[in-house]
Amino acid sequence: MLRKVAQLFLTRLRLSKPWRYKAPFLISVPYFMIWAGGMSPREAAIGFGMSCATIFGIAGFGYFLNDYTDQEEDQAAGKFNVMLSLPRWAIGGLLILFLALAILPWIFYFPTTPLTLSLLGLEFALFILYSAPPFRFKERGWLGVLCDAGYAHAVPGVLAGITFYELGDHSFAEHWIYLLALGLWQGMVGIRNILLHMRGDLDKDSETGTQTLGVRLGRKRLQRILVFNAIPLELTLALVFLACLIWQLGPICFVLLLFPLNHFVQYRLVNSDPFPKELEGRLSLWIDELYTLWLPLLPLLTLAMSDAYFYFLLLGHLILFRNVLGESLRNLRQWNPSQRIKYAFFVAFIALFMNGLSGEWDSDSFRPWHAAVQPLKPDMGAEYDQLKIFAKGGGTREISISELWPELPFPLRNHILYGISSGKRKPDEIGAGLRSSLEKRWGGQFEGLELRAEKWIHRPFGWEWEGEAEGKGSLDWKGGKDAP
Amino acid sequence: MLHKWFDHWVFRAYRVDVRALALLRVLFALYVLWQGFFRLDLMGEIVSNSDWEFWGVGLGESGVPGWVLAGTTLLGLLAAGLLLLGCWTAWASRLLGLSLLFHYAMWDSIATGLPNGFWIAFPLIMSWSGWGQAWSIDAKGEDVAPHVAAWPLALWAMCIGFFVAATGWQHLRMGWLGAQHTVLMEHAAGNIHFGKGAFAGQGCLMGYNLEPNGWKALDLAFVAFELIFLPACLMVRAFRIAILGLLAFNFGMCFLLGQDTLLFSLALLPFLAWSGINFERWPRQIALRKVPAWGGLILAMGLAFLAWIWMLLRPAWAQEWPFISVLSGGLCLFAALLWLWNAYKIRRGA
Repeated sequence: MLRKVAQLFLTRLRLSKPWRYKAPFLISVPYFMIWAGGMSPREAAIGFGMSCATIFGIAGFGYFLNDYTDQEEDQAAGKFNVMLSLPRWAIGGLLILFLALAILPWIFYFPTTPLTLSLLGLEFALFILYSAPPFRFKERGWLGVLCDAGYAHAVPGVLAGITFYELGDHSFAEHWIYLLALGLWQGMVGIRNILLHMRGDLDKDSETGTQTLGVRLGRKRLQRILVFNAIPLELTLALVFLACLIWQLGPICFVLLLFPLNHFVQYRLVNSDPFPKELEGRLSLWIDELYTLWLPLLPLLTLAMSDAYFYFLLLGHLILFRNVLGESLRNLRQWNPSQRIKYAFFVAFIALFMNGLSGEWDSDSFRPWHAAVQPLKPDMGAEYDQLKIFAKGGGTREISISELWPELPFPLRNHILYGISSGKRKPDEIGAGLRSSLEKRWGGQFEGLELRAEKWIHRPFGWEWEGEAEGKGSLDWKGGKDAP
Repeated sequence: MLHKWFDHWVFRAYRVDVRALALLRVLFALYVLWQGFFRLDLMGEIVSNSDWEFWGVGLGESGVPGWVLAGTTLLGLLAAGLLLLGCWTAWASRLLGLSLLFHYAMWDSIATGLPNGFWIAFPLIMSWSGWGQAWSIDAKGEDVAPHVAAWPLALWAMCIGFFVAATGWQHLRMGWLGAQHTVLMEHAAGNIHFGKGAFAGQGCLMGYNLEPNGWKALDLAFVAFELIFLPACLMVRAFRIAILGLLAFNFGMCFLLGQDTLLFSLALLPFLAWSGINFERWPRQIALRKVPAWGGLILAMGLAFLAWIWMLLRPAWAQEWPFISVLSGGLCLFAALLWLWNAYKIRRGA
């Protein structure tokens, strides 16, 4: 039963297509706004669930309407149309289901401002204009192209962005730049896609006499528009959008450098295959996969590094949407053992490189787990490259507790190293242990001591003192030999 | 073209005799058991200290109970024992690697001065190398295949390349090339002052005899040597030569400055040209080929070695005759390198 339902939605209604190729990028817009708006993991999880529902509902409604209005045409042409095989009650049920999934999140959760409602209304309006008579913009040349680009790419992206901006704390003042770049770029992506689609169907449409825009333009002109206008403009706008992301997210965007490297390794080193030469293949490999598989990782990884609970969001994305990890695993299953080994070298190379860059490598310790689990641990004083503890008695002289270091028991070292520097331990908690170590060395009892931690950090070509750390305290010292 | 080179580098370049790997397996397991990675001496303190908290591997503030640490310690020791005997070698290697990883996560949060944790990856990677297919319980009764899978060694070469190059990068960032420090001299002087190494506490000339510019040149040369390791791992011959240099450095650090570099050296040994040894006649005879018959050189080496021993036993002489002290130590290092070069002939793909 479940399989039949899945088949209905994913195969016969073709919803697997938008879910695989459009939704992964679309959902990354909310991820970015979740980060920019400082939303909590709980709020993000609810928003994620609602987004998935509304994406499915809106996409379902679009495909439903398109198939419903094309019934006569498809029947005449002998093309498959799911509506032809469904009873009326099922068609009605599907419509109600899709509308419910699309609209209910807006009733119960998403903010209903004039702007969001307008965009939602525009989305539905574009569906109707595209497919439903008497409009049928799909048969009206450029109107159809713009309509498709609007409802499939530009409007959903901007709607998602504005919705999650409204849900957040409104601290992202430059959100309008991001949304403008997103809308323009996604619009061009839609135009490019529909022109490519027309190019692919050109021979069939010419044979059947369907007067699509592609047929009217002709193959050569269509190709020129694609290669010299649509694609360059799309790439330019993509770069603008990417610049916005880098401006906001920062160095995490270097992850995108892995994208061409991954393809190079898979194609040339693992499979020993040449890269695709035809336009659709190149666009799919070098452009669409970047949008769909890699760009969503940027806000997701940023979120996961800011709060460990966002790893669950990352997990949800990996399970529900097409992603680079899933695609790599799929390839792994198809490869033979020697191909898997070669790819494993690439993965190891990246892991080693990232770990080396993170500064966790040095000649005295190797902590591979730090890079991976840092968000899961409280601050371990990672910002401190070196910690010096001074005990000052009677205002006369400072003693470096670092000199005592070999004599201190391990629990005390831990408390000093991590507790004070992270602010999670108060000095009086370590006072007793420190006192006994000092008394053992100098005898007597200590009073009037101040405990101070200096913070030193790495700078290029040397150390620099940055100031004192938190955690001042005192011990009592009542004299003894070699009193400071 | 590129994929052919890559295939060769991954699957054939670092091919080595399985018996050499078996020897390393035994040495590594012995070292783990002897050196006490699992810090049995601290177990009582840890488990009995109720105030103790472990910052475990992402286990939050509540930490890890002492019994878990004790259990993983015993598992690690068991794995090391199995590795030594070559029983279920692949799984023993992996278990040992995971135990070491867990322990380093524990110890790293509470202690300092541990041996370098990078070598945890060594048993994990070598578990795929087939190092249990000779001189082991697993291999009993079976014919020894002369070669085993080379890709684990290629992977390990890449790890070493990254490790050493990243260390060089850190040294670069930390100011080794800056004019205000002569880092190697400071390290050497510090080690000697605090009583480590062959010339401990004696005011060794190694620390003070070179001009500052000479020490600065050493700093530069050392950082450059570290940085070239990463590209060198892509060229087998260059990497093997670099490994020899690193072994010589480790030898020097161990004997002159008292630093424990034995584990580091063990993990580098797979990259020597073991084909120079005739394992069929091992251990009755080590096939030394083309030993130079230069009597004078051998005599000089012998005298240098004797002089070095004498300087160790008579530190006052070392201070009196600094040049001889440095020269004798250097000649001993050179002799060791020369013997290694001849006994384990560096050959491409050997």
